[in-house]
Amino acid sequence: MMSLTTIRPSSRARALATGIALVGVVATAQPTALALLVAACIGILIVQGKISFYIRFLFRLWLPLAAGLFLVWGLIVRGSPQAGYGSGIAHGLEFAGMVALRLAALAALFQAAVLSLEGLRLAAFLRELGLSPNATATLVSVFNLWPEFARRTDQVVAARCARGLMTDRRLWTRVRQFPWALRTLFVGSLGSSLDRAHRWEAERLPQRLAETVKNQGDSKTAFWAGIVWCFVAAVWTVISLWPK
Amino acid sequence: MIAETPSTKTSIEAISGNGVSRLTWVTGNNFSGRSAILKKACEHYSNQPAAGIIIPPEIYSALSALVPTVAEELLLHLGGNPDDVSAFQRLAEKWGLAALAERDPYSLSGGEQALLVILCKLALAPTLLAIDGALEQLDPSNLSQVLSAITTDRSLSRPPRFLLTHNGAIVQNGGNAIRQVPATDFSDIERPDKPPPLDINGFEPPRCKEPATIFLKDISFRYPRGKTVFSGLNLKLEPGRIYRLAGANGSGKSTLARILTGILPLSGGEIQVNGKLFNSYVRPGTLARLHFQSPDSQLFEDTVRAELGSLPSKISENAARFAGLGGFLNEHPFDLPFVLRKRLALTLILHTAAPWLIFDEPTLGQDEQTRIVLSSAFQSLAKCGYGIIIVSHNENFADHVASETIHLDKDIK
Repeated sequence: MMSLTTIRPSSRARALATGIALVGVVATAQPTALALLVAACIGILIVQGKISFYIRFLFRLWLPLAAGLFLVWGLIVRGSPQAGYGSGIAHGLEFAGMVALRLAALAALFQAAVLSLEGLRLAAFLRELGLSPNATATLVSVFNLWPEFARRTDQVVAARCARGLMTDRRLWTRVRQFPWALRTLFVGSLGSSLDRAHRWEAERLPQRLAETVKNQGDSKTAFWAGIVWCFVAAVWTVISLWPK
Repeated sequence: MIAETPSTKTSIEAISGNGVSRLTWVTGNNFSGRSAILKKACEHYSNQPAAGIIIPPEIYSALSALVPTVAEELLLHLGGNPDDVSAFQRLAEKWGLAALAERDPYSLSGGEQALLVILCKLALAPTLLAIDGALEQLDPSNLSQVLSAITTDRSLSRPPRFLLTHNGAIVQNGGNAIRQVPATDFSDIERPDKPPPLDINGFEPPRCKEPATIFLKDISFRYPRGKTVFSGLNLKLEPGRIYRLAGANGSGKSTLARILTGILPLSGGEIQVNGKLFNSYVRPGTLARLHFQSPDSQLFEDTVRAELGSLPSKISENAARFAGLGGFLNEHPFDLPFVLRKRLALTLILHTAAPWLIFDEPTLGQDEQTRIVLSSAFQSLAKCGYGIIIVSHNENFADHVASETIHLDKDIK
């Protein structure tokens, strides 16, 4: 049976370290510091076994966005807000690079510190932030929305294959399943939300969630791990804001 | 003619009858009011939280959807109550759930999900636990384990009373531990109008255009980042025959069915059908149709009429007559009771023209009368040249209808 004492570091420290590092990410003008933070977060995500989500984010969202930024600021605007429009391609590319790096760092920070938490660990984190049992259960289920949508979409595709309504898996065939997927997602989500609300209430699941995370608690090691996280975040923030 | 016994009992008597048995089995046919009795008996405890709990036949809907692993699901239901932890750890190991601790509850097979949900609801320490048909998804060994825990296990500090419906045989454990009560004996239940039964005379399946022999050559399947479900499987499946896929819960029966339907890709080996080859890159798309255990994910339209409309018009009329759904054509499929939703999903596959038809737990929630008609329908299809594969834990039904049994855990080579 698992134990919540495997949480490293403690939830409050996690939130504090994220807050401190956030200041650095937003305010720094040093690309090296941002790159260092991204590398450190990637390391943490690899250790946590959660790197795949971040990689998907990089390729599917960040890369097209970064390409767009380079195109707009480097080749169209040819300048940056600080140096002035038309001041040169180099200024535009530098500005686009900084914005893209800041976005990657922000995403890596939140992914490593908060979004990598799920289930009971996320509930423990939210309870420590002072949320009520009902609000905690609701937020935890919000975090589960995306995996649930993905699962239901897979189910629709599988079911349409099984009934012979989708006999190949070409991109266009899959795109044509969208209306059914959407309808099933909508009806299914609405139906299961109502079912779950009744079931959670009848079985007191939000209260049980709160009791489970309370009784397990954070360990001493988790406390010290939190101190280390905060210290590292503070040192990085100071370095990143140090004038050149 | 024998006069009917007047109904005298009330739903609460289902759980407060005399004797020492913890378990009451409410027997009867579909629409005899069994589910209503379970619901009403649970309502008796509605003023106390989690005292009367019902597990529906759609097992997945009883999962919390709050946590990502089997271990956390159980931990959540125990609610930090340390009293019974060791007893539940022991039960989890006995029922094979400890080995699945890190799996996503929604990725488990139907039988494994049923075991997890029963264990979790036991962890809530209810006064009454009502199980509506969910035990039908368990293999004989797991069914016996669960019944033994229900009727004789003394390790739980507050064992509940159990009320269940179950189509099929239940072997009695511990002498007279199971009390059987016919659903027709209860007077305080509102019974739904009974729809017409399945009508085998209305069954006219489409002609099988191209009977297909399937050769499975050294096939294997492994979930991404998951366990190997099976490997080195060699089989020859001939048209015009009815096969039963047997094996323990989680042995890969449904997975094999999904591979033959082209839903899942092979991890290794190849499938040869009438000279065509399918492998990890090319999946069979038109070879087989599959009826899922749960009908809900297989129904897409707003009305029963529209669902049946996916079949050619002449066949669609026959299908409605066969399924006894003529009076429900304008209903939303999700407004029908589970038994009828299952019947609708079954009918859609029974009337589909593909060389192979695969049925995953077709008798789930269906009574003896329906099972007899289904068995005749399968035999008619086989005579027309269709190949039929049945995945079922209802041994009486499957052994009666199938000409050959494939044990996935034994006939792996």
